[in-house]
Amino acid sequence: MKFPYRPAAIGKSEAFPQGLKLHRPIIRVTLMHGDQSLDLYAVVDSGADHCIFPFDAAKALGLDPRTGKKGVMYGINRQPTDVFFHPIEILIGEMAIKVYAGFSGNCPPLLGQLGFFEYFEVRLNLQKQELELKPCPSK
Amino acid sequence: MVSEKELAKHENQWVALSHDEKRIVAADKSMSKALAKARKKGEKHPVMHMVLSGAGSYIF
Repeated sequence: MKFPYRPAAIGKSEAFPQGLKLHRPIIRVTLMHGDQSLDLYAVVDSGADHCIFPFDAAKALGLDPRTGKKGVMYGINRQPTDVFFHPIEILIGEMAIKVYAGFSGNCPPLLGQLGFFEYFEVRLNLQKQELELKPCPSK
Repeated sequence: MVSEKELAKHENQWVALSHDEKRIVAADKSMSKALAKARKKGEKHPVMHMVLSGAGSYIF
């Protein structure tokens, strides 16, 4: 499965007086739980340990996010954030995978190591602005 | 497809795209509200997209 990167622009700053134009590996996925589903764009983030979505995504799936099992995550400044985990399914292309996904605040949707990278060989190709996923045979 | 220029008008908001992603159906700072607005307009399965601020770079 191949997915194009999405373009992004960063405004001018002292470090980057001309601003920046870049591309990010952001792909469309479908979250599923019971008979509920939600289509959204998520960042493929090799630096994230888990797949994380905002509280409102849980609500759209008919879940009360805070009834999930509580965990803690740390961001760039090592500030702890509560995350509540629920078992869901994620449809990527035509492949549905079972994921113990975290839900937290209004975070951007992230596809991380557990629940995403463990299922696929992931090729990130910035030069081609393309992401390729090959399902792992062992999964 | 909706252009990035169009999406950028909704910086820091959740945008509900039509299922074929050809148009923006609704937008709001709250995903739930954007989703509800889109469904009220008849889009049963919108595609939700968080439009990040272009004011700085990101480490997710």
